[in-house]
Amino acid sequence: MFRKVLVANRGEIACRVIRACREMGIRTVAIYSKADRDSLHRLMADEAVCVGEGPNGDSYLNLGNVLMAVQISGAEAVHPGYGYFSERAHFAQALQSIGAKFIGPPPSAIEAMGDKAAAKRAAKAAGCPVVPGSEDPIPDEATALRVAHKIGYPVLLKAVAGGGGRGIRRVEDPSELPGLFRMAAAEAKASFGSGELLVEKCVVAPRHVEIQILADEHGNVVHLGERECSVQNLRHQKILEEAPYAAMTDRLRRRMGEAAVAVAKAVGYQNAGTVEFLVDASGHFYFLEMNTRLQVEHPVTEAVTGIDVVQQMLRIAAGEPLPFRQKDVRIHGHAIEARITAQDPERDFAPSTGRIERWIQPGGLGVRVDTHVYAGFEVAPYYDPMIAKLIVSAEDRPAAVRRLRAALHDFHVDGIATNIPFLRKLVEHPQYEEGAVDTSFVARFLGETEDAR
Amino acid sequence: MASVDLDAIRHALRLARDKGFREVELEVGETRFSAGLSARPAAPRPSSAAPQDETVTVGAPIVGYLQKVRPSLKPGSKVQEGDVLACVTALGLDTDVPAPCDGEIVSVEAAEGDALEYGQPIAVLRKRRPDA
Repeated sequence: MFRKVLVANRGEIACRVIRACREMGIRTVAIYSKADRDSLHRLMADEAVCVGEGPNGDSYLNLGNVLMAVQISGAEAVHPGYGYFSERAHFAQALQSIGAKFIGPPPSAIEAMGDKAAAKRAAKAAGCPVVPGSEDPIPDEATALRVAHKIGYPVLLKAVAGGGGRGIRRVEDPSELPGLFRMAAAEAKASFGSGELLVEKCVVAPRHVEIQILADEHGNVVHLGERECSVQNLRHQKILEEAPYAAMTDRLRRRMGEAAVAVAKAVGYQNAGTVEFLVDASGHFYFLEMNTRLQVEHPVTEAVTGIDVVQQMLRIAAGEPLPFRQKDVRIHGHAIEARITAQDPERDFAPSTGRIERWIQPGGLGVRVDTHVYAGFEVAPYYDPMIAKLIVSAEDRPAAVRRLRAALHDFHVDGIATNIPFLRKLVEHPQYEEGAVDTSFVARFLGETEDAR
Repeated sequence: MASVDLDAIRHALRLARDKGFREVELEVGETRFSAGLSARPAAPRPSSAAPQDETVTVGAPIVGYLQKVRPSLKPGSKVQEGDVLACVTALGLDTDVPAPCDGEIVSVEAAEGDALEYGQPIAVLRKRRPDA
């Protein structure tokens, strides 16, 4: 096992990794920016190296400084957390060149999944269902009509150059296709510089369900079941995540798990990864993308499987075989994570910065809070607004929802605005309680609260 | 499509300013960026109200090893703004550590070969008073 690990990240995830290392008897090195001098991750680590000024580009994304921090600290391996360098194949290669191990997948697997179109082809080749659609840009309306007829309405017209939910038009039936095609092509040309369009099946009322996998360096690949992350804000950022998926059946879990494992094997995947799917109302699932890193919402999987994902990542990177097989993985109970952000729900979720005057976090059985902040901590403007993750677990979903409501009720932060008041209202919604929420739930919820004013 | 990213531009401008260049031209594929720089951007002038013995800490500009310590880097030396005092070496490249202002070295905080974090003190300078 490694003797010393550097955590190339900040915030709650850096604390999370440091904690795992401590339990395993591994010394830790934190990197921090000048703005994060008082962050818990810096204070928790055995050693800390300042890598620059507040802005990410000057510090956490300053490749030279991060690599030199690895070198001068003598760390044998680097955990990238999520974001930052976690999905940059070049970073993994650069670490290799200075003799340090990247705690994550091989660069070739990062690259294979980094390009969405290539990832979709790889998934398809591995026998994993993908959203039906055209692989190449559609030259004209006639071709679009033919493709749409084959895959069935409704379809989406997607700008090849678009992304992040932009440049997409929904077509309900053939009569409106030609007009919308011309309009979408013109818009795409104007917005993205390219009028090229793809036609894709529109997955109606989709649920975002993802499968956590672990793969060691000896060819063992297992999945740890699913997480559901359909409660997303208007920018497609996840707000609430849970495990298991309320509408999951043993059969669907087995099929999705096998598909995820097949995708991972197809690209020679190692370490922790997540295969994301869309699941429609009738239980059809489609590959969306693979995240080649630890995910924010990994604690819900830990809660229902009892497996510490970060410790497994460290063991895998150190060359150890997985200590369990697929049949040993059992899902118990239900867990929900809520992302606590420094965003003001009263001001369109604008980031809120400044000094946290009071920080009272919930506790008790089945309540976990992962955070890097505390009373007196100054929230800087440079970073992601997430300041904590609240994870609750209980024997079943209704009990977990009750526990989440109670925990949010007991969570008090003064000095800065947070999304806690918004989360309290959201989890009171009857539809959320039923577990009947698709990815458009937050948009509708915000509409309802707007109407109620 | 290749394009010049903002970080590259920022980096080039900073380098050009530090080295005293007058023109910067960047070309990536079809994309070009060019800029002319004024002779010397208005550096913050020490105000006359500054305390008489104002000291300035010279910190490591990057994470790396202190190398090529110049003879001038010793207590009592008089230095001028821009004089190179040492280098910080990282990944085989040297980055100069210049004196940030005219003055006298009061203390030296790091030795040749030391590993330095970003901003770690290398020396403390006493600013030369404008009237001195």
